[in-house]
Amino acid sequence: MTPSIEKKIKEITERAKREGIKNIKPRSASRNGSSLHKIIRTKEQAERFMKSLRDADAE
Amino acid sequence: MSVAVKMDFDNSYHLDSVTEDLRMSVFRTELQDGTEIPLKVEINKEPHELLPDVFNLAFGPINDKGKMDDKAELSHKNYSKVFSSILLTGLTYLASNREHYIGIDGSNNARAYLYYRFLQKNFDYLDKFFNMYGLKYYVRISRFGKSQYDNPFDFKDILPGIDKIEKSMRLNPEFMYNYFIFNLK
Repeated sequence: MTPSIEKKIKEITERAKREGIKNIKPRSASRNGSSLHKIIRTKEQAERFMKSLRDADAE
Repeated sequence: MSVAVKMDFDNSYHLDSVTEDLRMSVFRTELQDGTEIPLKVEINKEPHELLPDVFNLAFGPINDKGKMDDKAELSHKNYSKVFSSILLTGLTYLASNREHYIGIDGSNNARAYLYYRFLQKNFDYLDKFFNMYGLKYYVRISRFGKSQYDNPFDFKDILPGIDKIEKSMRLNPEFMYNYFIFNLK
């Protein structure tokens, strides 16, 4: 992380706390739902997803 | 769309608005015809019910009903600035939610390939901030039927496969990742 980006992130975060919009309706961020929501439907798939993610991270 | 995108978080659009929880922001992008339109970036407020740390990020113009159209195709004047602004909002969110992941859908293969090209062309820059992963969905072949018309794919048996995206990984554009995932370094 570079100092200029850290500064930018800090500015946006502080602005959000100070004057950010407080309430937006919870909704899907994708109009049609993400493929992740459509495809990962079982606990086994979700567990495999997280294991796969952790394995990829450990590589 | 040109793929000559140069990611630079120092060169991003000013946010017109941002929510307190950093999940939603709006900035104005200039199109090639000179018009300016608001572009909304939104990170799911509700996580996937089985993946509580993974949040979808979508972006798009706001339509007449005030809803985001994440399937719209726009001709931006400065793609570098647009995509830098979008990912900066993701980076800002992750900086306050370090255990979370954000995911971006490639809504079709062409768009997914484009995103992958963006990641590869800017790998050295983005790698300073993010771990980047690509997700594919694999469908089980059950068994071949008696006739050639029987569908051997069991679409109820789908497995996710995730790769950490590394520099200069070459992928066949026809077999592109379905979903891109980011977390903070």
